[in-house]
Amino acid sequence: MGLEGGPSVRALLAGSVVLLALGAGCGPTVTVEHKVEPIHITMDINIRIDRELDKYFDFEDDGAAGTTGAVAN
Amino acid sequence: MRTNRYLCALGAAAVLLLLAGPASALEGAEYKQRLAELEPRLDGLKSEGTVGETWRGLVAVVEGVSADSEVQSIVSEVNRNREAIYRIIAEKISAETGKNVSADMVGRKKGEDNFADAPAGTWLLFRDGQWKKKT
Repeated sequence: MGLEGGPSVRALLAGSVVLLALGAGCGPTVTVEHKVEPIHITMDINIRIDRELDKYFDFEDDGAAGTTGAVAN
Repeated sequence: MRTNRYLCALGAAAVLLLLAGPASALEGAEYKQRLAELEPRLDGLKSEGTVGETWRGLVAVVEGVSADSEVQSIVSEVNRNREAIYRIIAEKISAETGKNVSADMVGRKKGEDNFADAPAGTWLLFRDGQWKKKT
């Protein structure tokens, strides 16, 4: 089945296809960046926080009032 | 001559950096000492149900409890010293790892630990604003 309507219809169709293709290519692109630290980095930071908290709050474990060791840095 | 000046500035910066470390450690030791001094009184307030631990690693007067100015003052002082320590820890770990560790992050970790370690009967303030007694 041939395309009826002559060259002007064909040109119109071809033009539409080209426009559609261009339109699809030029659509707005939204890039959402969600930075997630690798698990080993998060764990390392948590371990460091725990270690430091233990140093500063060791008097809580003792249950002894006035236990005040120096905090090594 | 100019090189000497640069070297001098570099030396001064190095000395300042060296002094900054021990100074914060000393400060931290002072906050720790004050907290240790306040600990028996705080423990008493927690066991009588006047004061509880919060999810952010701080203490607060339990909702519905009337607290006198002395209790309010203890709560403020404990929180002030705890926050100072959280800040020191956050700065230290940020400097060591190059990652942005906030004092709030440290406080929340301490809050988790406090909730886990709290004896039964201690009031705990959860993130949703609800006070619950540990069973």
